[in-house]
Amino acid sequence: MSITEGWVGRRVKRVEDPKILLGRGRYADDVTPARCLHAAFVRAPVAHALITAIDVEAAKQVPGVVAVFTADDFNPMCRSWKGLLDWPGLVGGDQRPLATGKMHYVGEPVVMVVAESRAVAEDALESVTLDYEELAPVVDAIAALDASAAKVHDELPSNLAFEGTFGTGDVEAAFAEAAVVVETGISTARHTAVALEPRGVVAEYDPAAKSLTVRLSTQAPHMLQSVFAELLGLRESNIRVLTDEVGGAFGMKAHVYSDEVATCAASILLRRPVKWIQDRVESLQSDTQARDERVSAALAVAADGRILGLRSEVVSDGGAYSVYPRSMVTEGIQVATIMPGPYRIPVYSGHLRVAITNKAPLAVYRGVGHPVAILAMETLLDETARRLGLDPAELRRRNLIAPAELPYTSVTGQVYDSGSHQESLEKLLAMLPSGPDLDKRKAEARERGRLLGVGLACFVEVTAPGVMFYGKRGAPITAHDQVEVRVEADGSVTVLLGTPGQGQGLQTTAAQVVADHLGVSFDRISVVSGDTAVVPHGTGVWASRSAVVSSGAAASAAREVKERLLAIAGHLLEVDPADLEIGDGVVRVAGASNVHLEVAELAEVAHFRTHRLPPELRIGLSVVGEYSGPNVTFNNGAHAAVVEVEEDSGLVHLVDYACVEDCGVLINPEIVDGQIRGGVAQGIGGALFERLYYDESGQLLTSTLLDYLMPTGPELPDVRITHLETPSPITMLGVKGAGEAGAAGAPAAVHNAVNDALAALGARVWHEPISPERVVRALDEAAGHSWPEPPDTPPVPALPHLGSTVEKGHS
Amino acid sequence: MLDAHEPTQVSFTVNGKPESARTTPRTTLADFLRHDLGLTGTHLGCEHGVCGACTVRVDGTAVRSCLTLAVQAHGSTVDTVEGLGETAGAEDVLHPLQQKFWEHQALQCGFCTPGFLMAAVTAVEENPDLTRDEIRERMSGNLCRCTGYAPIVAAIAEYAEQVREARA
Amino acid sequence: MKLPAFGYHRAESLGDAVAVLAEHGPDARVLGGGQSLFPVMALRMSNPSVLVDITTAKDLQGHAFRDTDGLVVSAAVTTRALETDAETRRRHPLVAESLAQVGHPEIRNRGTVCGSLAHADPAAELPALLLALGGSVRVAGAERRRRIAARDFFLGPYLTALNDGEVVAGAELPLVPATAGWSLREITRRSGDFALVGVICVLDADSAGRCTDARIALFGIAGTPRRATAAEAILAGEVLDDAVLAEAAAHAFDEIDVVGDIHGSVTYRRRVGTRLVARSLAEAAARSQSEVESTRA
Repeated sequence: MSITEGWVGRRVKRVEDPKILLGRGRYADDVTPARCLHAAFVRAPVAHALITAIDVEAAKQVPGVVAVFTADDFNPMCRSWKGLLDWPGLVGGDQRPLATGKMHYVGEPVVMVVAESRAVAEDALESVTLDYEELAPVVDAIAALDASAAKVHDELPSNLAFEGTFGTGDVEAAFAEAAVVVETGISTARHTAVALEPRGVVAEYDPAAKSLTVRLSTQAPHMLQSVFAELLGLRESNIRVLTDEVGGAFGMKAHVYSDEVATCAASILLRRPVKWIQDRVESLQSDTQARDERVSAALAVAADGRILGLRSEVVSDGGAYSVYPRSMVTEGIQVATIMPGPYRIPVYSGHLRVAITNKAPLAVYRGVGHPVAILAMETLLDETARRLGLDPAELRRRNLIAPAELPYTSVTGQVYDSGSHQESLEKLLAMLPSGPDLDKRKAEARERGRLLGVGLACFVEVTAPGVMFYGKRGAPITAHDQVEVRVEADGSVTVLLGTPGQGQGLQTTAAQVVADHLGVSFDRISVVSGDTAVVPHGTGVWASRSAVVSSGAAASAAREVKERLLAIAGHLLEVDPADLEIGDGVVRVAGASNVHLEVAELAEVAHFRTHRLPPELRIGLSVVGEYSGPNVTFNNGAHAAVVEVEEDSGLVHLVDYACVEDCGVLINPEIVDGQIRGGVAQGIGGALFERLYYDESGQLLTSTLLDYLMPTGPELPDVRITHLETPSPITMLGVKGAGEAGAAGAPAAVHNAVNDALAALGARVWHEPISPERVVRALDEAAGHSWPEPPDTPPVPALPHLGSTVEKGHS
Repeated sequence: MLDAHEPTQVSFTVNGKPESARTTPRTTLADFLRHDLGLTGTHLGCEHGVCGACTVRVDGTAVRSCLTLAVQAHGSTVDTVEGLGETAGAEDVLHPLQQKFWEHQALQCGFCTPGFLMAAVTAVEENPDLTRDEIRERMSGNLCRCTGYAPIVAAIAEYAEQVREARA
Repeated sequence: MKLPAFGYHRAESLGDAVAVLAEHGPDARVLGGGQSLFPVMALRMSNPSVLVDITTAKDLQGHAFRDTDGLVVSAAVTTRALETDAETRRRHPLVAESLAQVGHPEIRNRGTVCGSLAHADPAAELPALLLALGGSVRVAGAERRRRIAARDFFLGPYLTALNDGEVVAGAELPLVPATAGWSLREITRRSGDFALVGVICVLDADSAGRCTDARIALFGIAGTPRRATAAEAILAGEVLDDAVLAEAAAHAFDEIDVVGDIHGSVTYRRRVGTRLVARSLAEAAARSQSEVESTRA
């Protein structure tokens, strides 16, 4: 059967939606057990300080307060943790439920107050006296690596968490032979996910059973089941994690958080349910952060535009702790290893350093390194095209991997199993204005005081990584998924999904896959997820893996249940099961459509009339399927942004956005479109607006949504999407991940569009977000007007000596 | 004068039904709806008036329920997302705007959705002639992190068209 | 982020409000729409013991057009109610347009005009509007009632000439003469954000096209909204041609200590503000002259 027929491939409306639309979704804060207490935290008011004394007596006297906890209360019952994947040399500081001895970043939990209500708990925070002695804050990631820098963790030798070099080949030789060498230095700002539902936990400890039930807003419930057991010394089978609806996650909710562990510990100590629901200030201070990288990169090209070699120098600001269990280095490593992208790059050397600083920890966020890697590569290509006088599309065309070269092993060892790298670009170009039409639009914009620019970005994206990614490196993270498919006695189907979603529509896609592979109608399927006591194991949503791996597990289970149905039908119809086919809930004898049995009839027999079946037949119509997925499968795509830059104000307006995406087989194109649009929105947010702003003392100046700027409707364009479907030859259903591609490609496309616009006046910007100030300043400086203020541009790391042909793309 | 710590009876009509509970002045309408009345469809995304997830209608006007006190709503008519659809026996029937949101997949995680629905139903009631650009602008006080807004705008635009046709 | 505890009084009248404020002293605060106050309280940056809610006070409702004072807006009038009022849109379009720039509709539905003035956010539109119009606030305290002109009212960021126990009972927004032109322009990162820099200007000219009145209020650039007095002086008595307007714009920030923040530096605000003033003056002048011409015709 072709997998592109049937329910897979249809724009089915999501099964998740009616209850959410009716206001009946169940998010973490929507459930309050009887006798539930409420927690709030005193958080570190400064970036780096020794805790000299904590006085909680006054807080304990506040009416309604039940307990006040410090590190001394939790440390004896809870192990410390740190995310140390098996990368050579990776180090990190110990993390605990509450700051112990020292405070390491603004917002780190220090004291926990538990009270009859959240309001009372917050009142009591003001009665806690926290004495501390400030230490030199470590704020700039490059300065942090200096030998003279203060240390964030005294027990570590320095602030260098990890250093690595990626790539192969004789880079020196390639650069020596180059006709042109172009160098750029870029940076991206520190971002955070801002899931609309803040994090939250309701922990309920049962001392009789020594069991802990935790309802929380996470994307990795089974991982947390393992980790809570490990940290709190409980039996894993006594821990139940509940996640019904989760209001967005984007990678940020895939981690072990101090405040969440503390809430569990408080419930154990108090023998009562304890709820902690994060507020937005806590979210902006203490959710994992991302994208804080500075990159210098250089491209060696031949006179005809052929790429001869690439080198990069990456500094990633890892923040205070190596997040457990995914670590602080995943993003930096992806920046360094993904940079060669869809291009034929024969030699490459990427040098990465991850610094420990007094900021909230850096971890995975939608795209994980890709947005930065692609930004570095694509800005470099545009600068090279300008240098060579080549059309940017033509320069890319000359270097994109051709179909005949697939599967292709990149210079960093990544295997691109399949793809449409050249075709994606050509399809994209067909969606864009060009030639005289484009010139006319630029001229018209100029009359309105605006500079119009078009920017391209081509990319590949790691999706559905396997056990090599985390499990082999020692983390308690599985790489496979399990799905149970169960035919009930009336012939309806229950699907128990190991991996729940946070808005991706996984229940819908699972039902579509099961419908096709079992042979029943989509409407007969109910999907259950979000309770680790009920569903089989799933590793959770991360790295664009669920459509690949979870769907594979669903298909696997459905196929086996189908075999059992056909075996029963074969017995009842007295035909060879091999001669039977099933579709839309009916089993038929091939070529004899009048002989048939409904699935409901078979289910009734399998449940209640088993006397009609021989004893050796498997009658259980319930199977747990599993799928480990590939080692990794790469999607690819090409994005284009059209912007208008207001010359007077520096404001950037997106007037068009087009993209071509190839995520292999599409299970539900509407859902994939949604993933792309949402990712593009976050990418545009990063390119133009979002910036967690730490001042020189390490104080966070953007702790409300008035200061951390997310794009709203008017700032975003309608995204025009074209799909290509090159099936992955190495995944069960030909599917590739789709969740992060939008976020990966957008920053580079927007950035290149702005620079295309600014280049008309000899200006360029190199740092994101591209604030109106950075634009106006770049235009002024290109016109010879300097500004008195120091530039709002973080320093970029120095590249090793490249010879005398360097054409610097940045000042 | 209501005492800061002495709970007082707050009564209003919610989704057509009288509701009442005791609370103190500092309780916001959002917390009162969610935790005292159990109407958890109204969501809190920021508690400082920026994200719009908590939008409800008070006497027909769309307001931030995180920036309104429960005691201020005493005696009012309050409408929340739970009251948009209609009940038919055991089934809830989606409101036409909810139906459009479903058709356009104008939600992913759904956390912002109640606020969008309540703001949009009010906006279209006030002016069904809104263009798509005007809808984007009119809804700019509601944040969504999942959808990129385009399907939300499309859903509201089609709903507005229905309202226009019904009024014509 | 829950509000700290406070006593709550729903005032029957202005007199009632003032009396309760006097009774509870400086820890009591007036509650208008609460759209600025509640976030500040939720962040625990303000902790009043009593809130006196004036939004339902009987004698603080409504607005009126008066011959002498222009548009008089009582304290309980919400931003959106006035913004959508047909008479206001017709007779005082600058006010309607300014109100439409305040936050988002759901904020304007509860936020009040007078509350925004009393909050005195230096990046907000309404304080600048009051300053550009040469308006006043009507203030009531337990002892006396007084009127404070806009130029004397705004003292610093979130700081006004109000004394403890005083309430902004109303605002007077003088009308723009039929012969005058006006303009409101601002630079915001996103729709509905506070301005990085904004300008409200009103230009009036005689039948010969000479400027008889120039009022330029800048906001988002210092601790309070500021009049661009140097620019106004350049325009006074001059024919409003392109050269004069450009000259005035170039001096818009003279004698103003511009303040920068993480969203825009001093130089950015000056550079972009100067251009913004130029466009705004051109718009106001064009409207002024078209008004003059339509009066002649």
